[in-house]
Amino acid sequence: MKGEFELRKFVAPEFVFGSGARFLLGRYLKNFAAKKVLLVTDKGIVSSGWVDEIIGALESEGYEYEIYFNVKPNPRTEVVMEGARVYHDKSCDVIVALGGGSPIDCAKGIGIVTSNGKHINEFEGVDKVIIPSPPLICIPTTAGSSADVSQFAIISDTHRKVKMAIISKKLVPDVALIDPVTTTTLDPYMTVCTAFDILSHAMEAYVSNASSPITDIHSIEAIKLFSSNIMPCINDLDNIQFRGNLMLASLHAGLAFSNASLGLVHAMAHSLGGLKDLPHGECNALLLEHVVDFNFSSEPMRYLKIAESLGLKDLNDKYGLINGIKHLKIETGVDRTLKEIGVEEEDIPLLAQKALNDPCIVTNPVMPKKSDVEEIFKNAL
Amino acid sequence: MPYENNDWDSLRDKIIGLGESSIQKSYYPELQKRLGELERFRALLDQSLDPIFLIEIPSGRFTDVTKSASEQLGYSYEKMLEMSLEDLVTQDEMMRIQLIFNDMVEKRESTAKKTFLSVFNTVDDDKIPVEISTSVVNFSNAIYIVMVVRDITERKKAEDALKKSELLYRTIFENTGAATLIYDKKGIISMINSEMELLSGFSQKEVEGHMNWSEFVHPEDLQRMMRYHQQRARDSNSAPSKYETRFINRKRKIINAQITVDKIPGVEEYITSVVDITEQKTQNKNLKWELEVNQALNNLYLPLVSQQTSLEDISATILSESLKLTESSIGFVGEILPYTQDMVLLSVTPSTPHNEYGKPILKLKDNGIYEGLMGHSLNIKQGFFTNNAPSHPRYIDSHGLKVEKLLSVPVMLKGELVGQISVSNSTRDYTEKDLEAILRLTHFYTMALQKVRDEKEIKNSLAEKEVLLREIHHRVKNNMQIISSLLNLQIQYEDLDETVGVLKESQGRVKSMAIIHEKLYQSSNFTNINFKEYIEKLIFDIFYSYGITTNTIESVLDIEDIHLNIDTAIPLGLIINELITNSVKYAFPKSEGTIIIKLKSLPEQMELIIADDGMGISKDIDLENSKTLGLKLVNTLVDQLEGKLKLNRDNGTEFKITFKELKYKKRI
Repeated sequence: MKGEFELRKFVAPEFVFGSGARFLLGRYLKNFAAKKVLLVTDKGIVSSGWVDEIIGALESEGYEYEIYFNVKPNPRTEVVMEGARVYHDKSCDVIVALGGGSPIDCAKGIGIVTSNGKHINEFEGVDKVIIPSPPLICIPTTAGSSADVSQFAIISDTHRKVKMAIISKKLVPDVALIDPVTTTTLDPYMTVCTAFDILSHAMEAYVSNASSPITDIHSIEAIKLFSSNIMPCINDLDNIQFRGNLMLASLHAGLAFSNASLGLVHAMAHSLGGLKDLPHGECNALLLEHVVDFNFSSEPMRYLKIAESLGLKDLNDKYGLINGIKHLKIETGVDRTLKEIGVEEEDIPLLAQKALNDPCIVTNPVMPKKSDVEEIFKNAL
Repeated sequence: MPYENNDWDSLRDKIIGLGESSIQKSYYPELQKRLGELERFRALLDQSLDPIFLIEIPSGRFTDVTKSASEQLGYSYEKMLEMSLEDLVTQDEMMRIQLIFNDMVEKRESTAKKTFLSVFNTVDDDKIPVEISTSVVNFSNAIYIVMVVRDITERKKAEDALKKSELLYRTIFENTGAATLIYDKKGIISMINSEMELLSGFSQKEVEGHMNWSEFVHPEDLQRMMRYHQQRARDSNSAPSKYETRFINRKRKIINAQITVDKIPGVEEYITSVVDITEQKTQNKNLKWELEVNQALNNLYLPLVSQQTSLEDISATILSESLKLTESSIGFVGEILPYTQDMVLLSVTPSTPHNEYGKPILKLKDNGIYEGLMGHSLNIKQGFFTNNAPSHPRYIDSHGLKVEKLLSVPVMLKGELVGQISVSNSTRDYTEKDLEAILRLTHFYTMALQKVRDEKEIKNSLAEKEVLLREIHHRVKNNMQIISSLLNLQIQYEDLDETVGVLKESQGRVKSMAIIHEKLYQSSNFTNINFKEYIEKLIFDIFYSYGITTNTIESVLDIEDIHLNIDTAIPLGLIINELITNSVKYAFPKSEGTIIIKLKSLPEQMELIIADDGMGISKDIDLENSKTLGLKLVNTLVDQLEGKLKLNRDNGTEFKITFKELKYKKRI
C-alpha cells in the first residue's frame, strides 16, 4: 500500500483442488513413508460417513491408523494434549486431519506438541514453534476455515477463557487435499457460518496492513466467489458447482489471510469465542459490519473495492457496505445480536482487553484503543 | 498427435503435478529411513554389554553414551550427557588418562587404538576395574574420542586368583625340600627349583629350556630310565613311580638318589623329585653293620656269663663271629701265656689237630719282637689290616698259607698283651669298620679271659682259706682239749667233791665247745655243723663223763637233721650241756630215768626241748633269777640267742627253748 515494494512472503502448502482430491491421500502417505496414521476428526464427520471412506482407503492400501475424534468445535488444550498422547502411545508417524477448522487446528496442535514435547500453551503467539510437526495432510470438509492452508491454529484455553492464537509458518500443513465433494453434507447453518468465515478472512486480508499484490488477488477473488455463490448454495445445497466455488473461495481466502494475516474482527471474534464458545464463523458475522464501521476511514478505497466485489455498486461511503453486509446476514440467517447470544454489557471490558491481546489486531488497518473496541462491542450488542 | 494417448495423458498429469511422485520435495521420508537405521543401530549399540562413550575433545564431555553405560554406572542417560570423564575417575586417574588422550589426539592416528586399564566410580561410589579401548574419530570436523569400556572385575578376580594360585604353586614347588624338576615328553626341562640348582650344580637359567633330564642320569642307568619314561608316556600307571638311580651333577660326581616321578594331568609334562640318599645309604650301611656287630656280641654274651663255658669255647665263638663280620675264611684266636709271653692257639679256622692247641705257635724273640705279620699287631700293640699282605714290610712267607689280606687285633688287659684275634683272606677288602668291629669283640675276649683268671684266683684263694679254717678249728679243738686235760689233771689232785664237781662242770663246758670245733673242722664248709651228730656226741661224752651207762639213764633223741652256724651252735651247745648235766646230776636219785632231747625246725623258729621224767626242779627255784650258775648261764645264753625259755614242771622237768638261728655275729 506504500510506495516502495516492502518485503512480502507467500507460503502455501502443496494442495490439490478438485473432486476426488481426497482419494490422493494414499499417494501422499506413500511419499511420506507413513507407517501409522493418526486420523484426527470429529463425531460429525464420522457420522457423515467420510471417515469410513477414508478408513477404507487406508486399509486397502495397508496403512495402520488410529482415529482420534474427541474433537469438538473450538478445540481445547486438553483435547490437543490428549491427542498428542494418543499419537505418542500409538507410535504414529503421520497426521491426517479430516474435517473443519477444529479438527485441523487440533491436528496442528497435536503435531507440534509431539515434535517439541511441550505443552500446547507454550506455543501461544508468533513463531514459537521450534521443531515442525510430523507430516500433516489436511482434507477440509468445510468452506471454510481454510485452516488446511493457513499458518494459524486457534486453541481455546478454557482456564483463562481465551482463544490462543498460535501463528507460525511451520504450522502450514504439508499437503491440503481440497475436495468440494466433502462439503456436500454440510448443513445450512454451518454452510453459512463457514462462508462468513471466508468473507471475513478475505476482507481482513485485503485491508490488512500486510497485504501484498499477491494476497490481494486471492482476497478479491474470494470475495467475488463468495458473493456470487453463497445464496445459490444455500438454496441448492447439493449442487457441486456452488459447493465447489465456495470451496475455491475458501482456498483463496486462506491463501490470502495466511500470508497477510487478519484484523480486528478476528481479534474480537477470538475473544468472544473464548468467552462464549460460539462457532467462529457466527462470531465473525456478528462483528463484521461494526468493525467495518470503525476501520473504514483507514482504508476507504479498499473497503469500496470490497463492496464492489460483493456486488454492491456505486458506493462511496461505508454505509452502503455496512448495509450490504447487514442485508446479507439477514438473508442468510445469521443476524443475531451479541445480547441475543448471551453477551452482557459487563463482559465488554474484559472482551475488549482480550481482543487487544490477540495477534490478529497487529495487522488491522488501524490500531484501536480499548475504548474503541468496547465501543464496537457495544454497537454489536 | 493422438488426443487420448495414455502416455501423453500421464505425462501431462505429471507435469501438472498429479503424477504418483509429482510431489514437492520433502526430505522427510529419506530422513525417516536414515533415522530408522540410526535408531536400529543405536538399539544395537545399546545391546552392547560394554558401555561405549563418545567424548568431545577437548572438553571431555560425554556427547553420547550407550544404555549399558548408565545401567552399569548408575547415572541416568540424561545425567550422563551432562557429565564428563573426570566425573567417573579419581583426579590422578584423570591426569593419567588425559595424557593418553592428548597423545592420541596429537598423533592424529585415527586408525590407531589404545588400550589401557583404569578404575571407574559408580554413582554409589563403587569401584569397577575396567579395560578401556579408545580411538580418535572425526565427525564433521570435530574430534571425538570413542571409548569402549569393559568391566574386568571378573577377569581381574580370575587373574588375581590365577596369580595367587601360581604363586602358591611356585612356592610349593620351591619349598618341597627336595630337588624338583618339570620336563616335557621330550625330556627337556622347563622348570627347576633352587634345591635342584644346588644338587645339580647348574643354575635355573642354564637348565630351564635347555637341558634334558637324561644329562643328569648315570649312563648305566639311562636305558632303564628311558624305558620307564616311555612306559609312563603311554600309560601313567604302567611305570614305577619311585626308584633308585644314580644322579650325576655338574662336577661328574655320582650321587645315589631316590627319585619320584609323576605325570602332570592334563599336560604332556612330568614332575620329578630327586632325593640324595647317599647319606641315608651310608647310615643304613652303618646301622646294618652296627646290628651285625651287636648280633655278634649278643651271641658272645651268653657263653661269656655262663659258668659252663670255657675259655676255648668262648674263643671259638669269638672267632666264628669275627670271620662272619669280616667275611673271612681263615682266622685264629690266640692267648699270650702270662709267663713265657708266647702265644698259643685257643681257636683256629680251619681247625688243626688237637695237640696243636697246647703248643706255642708264636714265640717272643730275645729282642722282644714277635715275628712276621702274625706278631705285628702284638709288637705295635695296635690293630691293623692290610689288603695286600705280601707287600707289607713285616710279611714273611710262613706256614705255607697264602695270605693276601690280613686283619689282626691285639688283646690287652691292664696294659699287658693277653691275646690276639686275627682274620684273613676276606672275600672283599678289609676296612676301618672291620677293625672297629673286631676291636669290640676283643673286649669280650678280655672279659672272658679276665673271668677265667679271676675264677682261678678265687678258687685258689678259697682253697687256701679252707685249709686255714680247718687248721684254726683243729687248733681250737686241740687247745680246748688241752684245757680239758689240764682240768682233768686238776681233778686228779682234788679231793673235795665240791671242787671236783665244779671242775668237772667247767670241764664239761669246755668239752661241749671243743666238740663243736671238732665237728667244724671235720665238716666240709667249716661254717655249719650237723647239730644232730653234735648232740649225739655231746650226750655220749656227758654220760661218759658222769659214768652213766645205758642201763640206767636212757636218752631219747628226736633231732631233725639240722645244720647250725657256729654263733648259734656254741651257745646252744652250752645250754644243752648245762641242762643235761643238771638232769644227769640231780634228776634221778635212783639213777633211773629218761632224758628226752628234741630239736625241731618250726616255720618261724626252732624249738629245743630238753626234758626228763625225774624229780623235777624244786619249786623255790626261780628260773629268771636263778642263784645257781648253771641256770643263770642258761638264761644268759638264751638271751644271747634271742630266744625264749619255758619251764614245765608238770611231769618232771621240761625246758622248752625257742630260738632263731643267729644270722649275724653278736660280739659278746
